[in-house]
Formats: sequence, C-alpha cells, structure tokens
Amino acid sequence: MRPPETPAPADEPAFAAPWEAEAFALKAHLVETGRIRADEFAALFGEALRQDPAAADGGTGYFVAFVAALERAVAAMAPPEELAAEREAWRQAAAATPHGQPIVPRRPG
Amino acid sequence: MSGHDDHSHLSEMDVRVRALQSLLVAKGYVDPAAMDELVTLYEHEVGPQNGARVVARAWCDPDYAARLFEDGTAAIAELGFGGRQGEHMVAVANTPEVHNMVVCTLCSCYPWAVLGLPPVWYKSAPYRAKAVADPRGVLADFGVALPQDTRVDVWDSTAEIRYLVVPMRPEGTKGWSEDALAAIVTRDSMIGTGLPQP
Repeated sequence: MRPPETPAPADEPAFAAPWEAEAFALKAHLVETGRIRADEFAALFGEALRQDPAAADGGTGYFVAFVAALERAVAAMAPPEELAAEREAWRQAAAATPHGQPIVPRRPG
Repeated sequence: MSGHDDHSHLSEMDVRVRALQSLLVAKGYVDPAAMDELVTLYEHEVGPQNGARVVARAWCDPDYAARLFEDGTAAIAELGFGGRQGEHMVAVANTPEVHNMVVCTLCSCYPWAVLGLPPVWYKSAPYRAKAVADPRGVLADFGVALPQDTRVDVWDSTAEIRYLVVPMRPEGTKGWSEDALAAIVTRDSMIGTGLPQP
C-alpha cells in the first residue's frame, strides 16, 4: 500500500454554517435556471454589503447581507408578506418539534 | 445557543434561508433535487478535509489524540477549526471492540465545522430511524461489514454536542505523512458509516 500522491486540501472553510452554503446554493440555482439575473443580484448584494458594516469581514455578516439581497432579488416570486408567514411557520415547527424529529413546517393558508 | 430546551432550535438565519427555499419550492420556482446537488457541491468547499486533518493528526501524535479524546472542542480548535455557536465537540474512537456511528435530525446537529454540510442521506428519515434500530443494517447498506464481536455504538447528536468518529488507522500506513493519511479519511468514516479508503 502506498500513500496517495495528492495531499488533502487544507483550505479555510468557505462557509461557517450550513445556512450560508444553502443560501449560496439557492442563489446559484436561481441564476442557473434563469429565475434571477446574476448582475441584478450582484447589484443588490453590493448594496446590502455597503449598508451593513458587519458584512465587511467576509464571514457570517457577509452571508447575512447575501440573504438580504436574495430576499429582495426574489421579491416578485416570494413577496415579503408570504415570506414572513413562511418564516413564522418554520419557527413554530421548530418550537413544536421534539429533538430527534424532523422539523416540518405547516404551510400557511 | 438554545440552552437545554428539549425542542429543536433554528437560528434566525436558518429560518430565513429555509423559508426562502421552502416557499420557492412550493411555488415551483426551485427544484429541490437540483438544490441538493448544489449543496453537495458546496459541501466540498466547507470541508470534511477539516475533520480528516484532525483524524490524521490524532493517528500521528499520541499526545494530540489524548487531548482530542479528553476535550474535543479544544483539540479541534488547535487546528483552527470550530463553530461560532459554541457547540461541544466530542471525538469517539473506533477500536477492534467498538465501532461508533453518529446520527441526528434536521436541525443542523452535525459537526459541520469539521465535516462540512450534512449529506442528504444523513438528514433523511430512513437513516435516522434505521441508524438507531438497526445500525448493522445501515452499515451493510454502506457496504461496511464488521467482525461479529465488534459492538456498534450509536451517538445521537444534539444542539449542544456534536460527535466526530475517529476511525482506526488502516494497516499498512506506517510511516505515511499526515497529509497522505488525511487524504484517505473519508467523510463517511468520520460519521461512522464508512471506513478510511487507502
């Protein structure tokens, strides 16, 4: 048995939490499928980054701004009031779910 | 952190992203299968390579291994890995007598700082149910056969405690560098559903 040729990469993790990667993947998917435009998103994201000083470190604050931009980018598909109801459904589902069970939101309406 | 509540906990950012995703899926704008594929892709960015470094270090350095099993959080932080939510990391060692396997639920109870994003199967109801009821059956599904006299311990992660399985160092890897060893430590071997792949 010989050691493999290539050492494992030891890069900094790109994401500090799963939601960061999920938001990143969601945006990539929406761009890939033509639901949102990359350049329009970039403009919204840039604006969100400028508005939030906490975003400057490239860490979690960066992704908070990313999510804020994504919420604006999809506003026509997911209007703010529907999004607010969906968030509330997730919060209630989490609070009502004993640990060890999958969290399943009940869709409003 | 959620303290010691017995209900599941989602951070506000988890809630925002899940709501975006579930609403867009419900309206047919997002294909969940394609999303899962992308998440798997990003998983490589977050990095089970982090956990692999921890395991390789423990294999090469007995003092490090002792610290790792004594205080996983601190020993993992020595290598620069750790969450920002203060989860406690517990490393569990596979031995000829005991094989360890980790399971949890949807609420992010996964040692993502060292393993990246959880694979889709890890979040699936069948895995969660079967890992507890029939761990050897799960291992068989993953193509892992253990000696009959090896005990299988299943660890249920919580919001506070995340487990990292430290697999046994394979035979025939004496003298390998830490980098070379890290390269054979698979994600599944650190969940306990696989073995290192030399």
